Amino acid sequence: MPSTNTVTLNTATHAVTPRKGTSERRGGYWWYILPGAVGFLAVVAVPFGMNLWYSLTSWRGVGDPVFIGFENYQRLLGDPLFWASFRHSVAFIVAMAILPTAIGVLVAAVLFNYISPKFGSKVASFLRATYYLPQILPIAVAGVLWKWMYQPQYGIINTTLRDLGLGGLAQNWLGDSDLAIYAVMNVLVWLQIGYTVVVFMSGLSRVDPALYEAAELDGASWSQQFRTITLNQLRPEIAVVLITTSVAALKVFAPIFVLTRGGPGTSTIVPAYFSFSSFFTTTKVGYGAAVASVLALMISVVAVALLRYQTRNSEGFDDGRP
Amino acid sequence: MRRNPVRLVTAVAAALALVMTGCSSGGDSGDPNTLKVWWWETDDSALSAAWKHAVSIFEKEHPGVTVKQELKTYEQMQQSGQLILDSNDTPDVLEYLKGNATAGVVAKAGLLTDLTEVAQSRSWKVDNTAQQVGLYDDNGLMGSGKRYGVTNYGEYVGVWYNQDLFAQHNVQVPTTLAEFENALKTFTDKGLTPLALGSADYPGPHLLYSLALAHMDEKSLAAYQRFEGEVDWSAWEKAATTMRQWVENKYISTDSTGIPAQDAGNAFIAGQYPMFVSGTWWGGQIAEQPTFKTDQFLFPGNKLHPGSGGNLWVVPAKAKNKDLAYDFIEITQRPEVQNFLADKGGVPVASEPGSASSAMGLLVGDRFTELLSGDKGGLAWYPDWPVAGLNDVLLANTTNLVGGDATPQQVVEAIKAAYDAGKPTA
Repeated sequence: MPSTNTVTLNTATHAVTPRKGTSERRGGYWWYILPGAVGFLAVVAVPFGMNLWYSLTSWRGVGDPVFIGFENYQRLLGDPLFWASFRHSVAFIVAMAILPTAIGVLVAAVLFNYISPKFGSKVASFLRATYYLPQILPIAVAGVLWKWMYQPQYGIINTTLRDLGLGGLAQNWLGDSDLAIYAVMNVLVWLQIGYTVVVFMSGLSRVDPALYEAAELDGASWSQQFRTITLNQLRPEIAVVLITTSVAALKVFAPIFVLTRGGPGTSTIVPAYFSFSSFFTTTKVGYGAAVASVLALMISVVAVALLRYQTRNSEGFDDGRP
Repeated sequence: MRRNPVRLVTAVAAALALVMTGCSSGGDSGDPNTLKVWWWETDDSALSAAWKHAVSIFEKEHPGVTVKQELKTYEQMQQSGQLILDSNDTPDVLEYLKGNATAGVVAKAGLLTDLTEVAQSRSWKVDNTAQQVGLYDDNGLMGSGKRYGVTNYGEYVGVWYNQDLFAQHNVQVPTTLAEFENALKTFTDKGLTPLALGSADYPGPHLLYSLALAHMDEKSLAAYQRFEGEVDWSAWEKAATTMRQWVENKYISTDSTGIPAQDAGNAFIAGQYPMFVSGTWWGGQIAEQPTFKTDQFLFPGNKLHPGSGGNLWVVPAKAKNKDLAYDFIEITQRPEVQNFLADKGGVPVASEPGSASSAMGLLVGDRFTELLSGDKGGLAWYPDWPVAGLNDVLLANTTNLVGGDATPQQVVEAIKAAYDAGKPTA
């Protein structure tokens, strides 16, 4: 541990001035950090360091890693599959962050300002719970369910279409390389909406009802109220949801794993799955570690950018329109 | 002297973290009276039944020794097998995946016990082509070198067919590729899709490989599977062209890219398709369906067929009770266990010919013995064996081929690129 860190940490202790006569207690508080520090080191720092080291080696997972410098990273930059996986990440940001946020705000507003007053809060809570159900389902179960629904021959979607005489619309949902990514995106939207709705509804509950009453008296329509009050008041929640879901979208693995395994062909491959398959199926551990490192860097950049945007944006609720 | 608390806390945290992330060594010392056996074959399979039978024989012959059997999953072993073998907590004997990318990698890394001399001194009958899957050379290439594993069973890919549908449409069992295509055409003209295929899964690559084997011989097979000389990619190109043609002729449904192997097999068993190109591991399920008569023919016109000895019993280098492990492997090779396997519909490697009691057992068992003898052809292993990760590439490209997302030439180019990239550099 370099001593520079200890110096900076020591300055922080002066914030807590010990009482006279208890100077031997100085530093005693450091032990309270221990559990968190152990967890962080064991779960984050040490594995991350190991991963960085492996990314600089050529290693099959057994035997001794051979140091090769930045060769894995050079190979990555020339690997079309790597770039394709990042292109798909953009699609999944749309499916996991942008669409669920947009739909979530709308649904939350409808539940909170329309369903709840008209039909009672029980109905609104029940609906909220049903939207949240996909979040509770284990992803493996959800994956099996959707695979069964998408099955081209006896899946419920195609069967229903055929029964309605719309057999022409029946598709090979997960088996057609042009469609598969949209089919997966659809599942992800379904998966994420519950989360956004719950956050936005709790956000709306802290909005002063007087705002809506005043707008109502001034004769503002529902859509005007939604635009000026709901969207504005929910800005901090929207920012937080966008950060968490975007990071989740960049890391997405399980839905891809259970639905398509990156297929058909490589039409739904994402960085996390690409890294996983380098680790375990092609046993190019060094290469997989390099993918994971680049992914970690990308996520950090996106998260920091969004956090900055959020802090800038949620200072005071000024109307952002020009 | 003042201790620096920050440094102390950091040191303690780091030490604890290292312990938690498993950087410390440790492990249990093996109990000499326990045999730890792992396999991943599910309880309803013929293999599992045969091995449980072997365990009961072992327990009878080793009073005082308890057998601890743990059921793993195939995925677990495929993905973390080598980590397990590298740990201090290995079983004494376990089922392991055959092939360059799996057993080959761990054999090369010195994680498996060399069984060459054990096999000789105990005079195991392992001198046949089915048992080649247990041989690995110094580069971890399968098929020659030292013996690291012993297999109990075999498998091969043929064409399962629905005899009732064949009779109904007056189709004869084809013996050449041309006759096979005629049969496919007959069914298509009658409005039936002739081939059940799950090209989102292994059946796709198996069919492509069967078509490629039509243009291959022992020499080009050795080139592909064992890197002996130049690979004949033109055979693959012809195969891909034919397969694409079959899709266009509606012998194969384009929907098959969204259909896993299990669904394809289920559809065949439900009588929806006249034919299903797949392996002997379907035998049990196909034999059990009572609604129509089934039989199997080998891929018409081919001398070589996808197939091999099965997965291996291996003894980890770090195993604690190696002698007990050898005893167990020996018991699994005995005729009584092998015949038991045949009765359950498995494909034995050391049974007495004609000993199976079920029709399916007789069919696949005796046919496998024929393939082993090499008189009517031979076993060509599987298309994904030569290099690690080829399976995913084959799957991706077969789906592209069937889905019309890539030309046959592009498909073969992609397979070749992955093959060349994965070649072991001696």
